[in-house]
Amino acid sequence: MICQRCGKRPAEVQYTEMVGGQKTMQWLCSECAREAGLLLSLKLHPMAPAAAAKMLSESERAPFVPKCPECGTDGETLRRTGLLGCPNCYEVFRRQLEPLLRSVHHAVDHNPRSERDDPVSRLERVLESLRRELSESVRREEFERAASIRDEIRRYEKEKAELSSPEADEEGEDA
Amino acid sequence: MRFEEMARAPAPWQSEDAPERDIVLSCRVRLARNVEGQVFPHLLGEDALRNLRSRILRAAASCPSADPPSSWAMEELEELERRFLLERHLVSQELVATPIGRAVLMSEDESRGLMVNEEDHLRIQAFGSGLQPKETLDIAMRFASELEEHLTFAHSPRLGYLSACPTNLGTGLRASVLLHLPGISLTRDLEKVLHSLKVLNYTVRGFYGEGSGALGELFQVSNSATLGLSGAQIVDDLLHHLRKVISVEREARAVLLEREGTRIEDRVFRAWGILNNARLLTTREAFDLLGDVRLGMSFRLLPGVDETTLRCLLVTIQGAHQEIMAQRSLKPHERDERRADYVRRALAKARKDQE
Repeated sequence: MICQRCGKRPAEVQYTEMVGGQKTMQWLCSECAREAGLLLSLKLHPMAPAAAAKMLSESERAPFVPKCPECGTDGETLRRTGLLGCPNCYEVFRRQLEPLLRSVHHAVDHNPRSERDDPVSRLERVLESLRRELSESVRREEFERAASIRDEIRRYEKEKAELSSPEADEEGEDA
Repeated sequence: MRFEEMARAPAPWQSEDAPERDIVLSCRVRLARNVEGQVFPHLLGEDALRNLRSRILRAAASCPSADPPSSWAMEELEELERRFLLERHLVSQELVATPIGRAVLMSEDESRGLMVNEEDHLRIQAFGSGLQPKETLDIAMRFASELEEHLTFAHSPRLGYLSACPTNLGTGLRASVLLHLPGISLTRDLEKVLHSLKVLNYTVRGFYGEGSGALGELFQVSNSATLGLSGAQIVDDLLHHLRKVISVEREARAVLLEREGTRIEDRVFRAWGILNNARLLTTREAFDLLGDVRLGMSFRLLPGVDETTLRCLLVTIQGAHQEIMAQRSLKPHERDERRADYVRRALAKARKDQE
């Protein structure tokens, strides 16, 4: 097998990462493995923009706004690179970013709570906002959108169930 | 040549008496920040990158955290020097590959650093030995607030600090911990532990699967969520869950030694034998073998080696470190030969010191 990063040297190790509940695997040569940063290294999230790009391309329900008036970044570029161009992009692409923010952060805004915020209640808040969105889109008869929101809700319900299950608890919350 | 002194030893912040040092190698906190009123680095031209770099480095020079600071414009470093800083974790692959308009800054003990014009305008970094994410977070936060006295960061009341990639939004905080988990890996509890961490929304990176050797026992765990939580919450949660993992690893190591003592001893002493006798060593092989020796040390199987020597070797055997010490670039086979010599000499010295 050939390294999936450089496409030249033979692959020697399987590199696995899980970001935002998505598992990706790559076969790498040791040279690229070192560059990917795990040989005793602490390079963080070398693939973060790539993971963001993947998530953005997969969320179909909100049509992309053509362009940010401040920096010229368009939806296509955002989907390809996973990078915003400037602070204003966050306003321009607000709706498009929400599914990604929910998936990665289990939140869509920055509102740190002072009390201890456990993973289950964070997911519960995500679910609440999605359920509100769902009834809203049903009321507006946007059925395609409603269907994809329903898929998202199922995914988070599954995550929540896993979090509350005894098996996860074993090494997780209440070992 | 620059960095020659640095290349002979690990970063000064690494210490032996750090908490959980037998399982946790190190932790790192990174804060992503951008300067208000500017587009993010990937949209800036070379001149704009250079101007912004001067502005940021001027600001950093007056921060007590960076005192006394060393900083370098990436394009003014030789390629070998850039790779060396990569091996020290002071710069990223991106800064090595596209040096123009970028910079790196570090404090004298290398515990604090700054990357300029990486994916974000500023990537503030702090490092700590063993399991000390809270202390490391404090160091990074202090540096960030000192910088904020001189620079205005892009921030929104609704979204917190604004980053180029939406995966860093809010706190811009990534706290990561490097774990050595041979017990869990060898007793096949790995999937369960990894699954739990995944469900708890942590990012886990590592090499595992067939044939990944001791490399397969190193894992980096970091928070995925940066939005909607405070920095202190992120680190508290991480610490809480890591303590569970650490206790599982301790149990696994005990079980392993009890049930498969001979197999473990064999593995450890084979590694010891090769390291003390090999004439050629690749980085990969040396890492694997040193990992086995590390495991042996945690079982107190090897009296002839000390933690300091091992910790030093894990850093200094890397390619750019060897080349900086040799004061020239080396061909791969030369590097492997020098590495093997270097390891043999270091272990011989350690044995002598122990006697």
